[in-house]
Amino acid sequence: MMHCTMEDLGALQAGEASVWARRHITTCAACQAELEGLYQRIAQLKALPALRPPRDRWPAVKSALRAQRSRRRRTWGAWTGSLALAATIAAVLLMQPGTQSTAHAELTHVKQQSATLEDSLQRYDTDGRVLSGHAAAVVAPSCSANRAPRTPNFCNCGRSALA
Amino acid sequence: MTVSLAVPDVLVARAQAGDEAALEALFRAFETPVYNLVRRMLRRPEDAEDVLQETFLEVVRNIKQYRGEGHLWGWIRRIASTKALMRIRRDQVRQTESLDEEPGKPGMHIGANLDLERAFERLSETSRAVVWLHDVEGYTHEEIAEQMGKSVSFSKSQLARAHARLRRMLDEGAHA
Repeated sequence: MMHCTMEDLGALQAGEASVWARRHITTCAACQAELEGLYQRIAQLKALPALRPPRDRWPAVKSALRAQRSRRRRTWGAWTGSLALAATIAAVLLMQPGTQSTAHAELTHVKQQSATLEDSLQRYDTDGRVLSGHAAAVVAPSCSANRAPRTPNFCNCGRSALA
Repeated sequence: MTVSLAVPDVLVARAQAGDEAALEALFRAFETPVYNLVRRMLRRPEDAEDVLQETFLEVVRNIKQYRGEGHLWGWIRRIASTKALMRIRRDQVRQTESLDEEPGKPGMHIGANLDLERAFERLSETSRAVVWLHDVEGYTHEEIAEQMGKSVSFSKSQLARAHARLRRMLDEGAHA
């Protein structure tokens, strides 16, 4: 006798089963028991207790957030600074047409310096301070090994590493 | 785990305005559901911690894009599950098939006390992800397939195979 496969049982559970499977399940005790087992497993999975993160990750998220904000401010400051500088030089050039070639060379030089500065600022990655889960997992045991016996719930070096 | 987290609109609005205290409150409200979700999907706790952090970095960056359509948990859950699935795809090389098929590996003996949670942990990460997203989080096969970049039939067959393995492991555990 042919029985329901696990896919058939899944389809029955989802209400998408074939006509054959729907008919078969009404007469086959073995498949009824299998379907009941599936329902029970799903109910047990749903009832599993919530797993909680072993470490507080907010300091790392906050640190990355602050780094991102300060980077945005610096980039904006660099841009406005460059624009102001360019405007000043342009004004000088307009007022002194006789010294155009010298001023042009200076302008090119200043533009290059400004571009280098912006590039350096953008490459500066403060996110590097944020610990990964793997690094945190390595830090935590070594901290607990160094922990003083009378302070079992406090690990200062772990906190400062995450902060 | 069923989550019914209600977050006040005013808290979301403050978070969208960049209020750090409100962002922390959102983190505190959702850190456990997010960690639980990704920890169930991923085998290694360190990976789950990383995904928890990545999820909230994205939440903080994109909270302004949340328009209040649907529950906030649904929006955050989508970010978290996508990131966990991306990690599974990225680490697919190291991923093994069900560990119960690796005889002789230390700690893999299926004992009489094998319960569903331990059996579930022995599934491959892809199987765990499909089972958890479908059976516990209530995702449809279409949604899972879209998130995984696979077909609907892939999701269905992964689910069926995973349940067949769970059933077998629990059966063997009961008769050991």
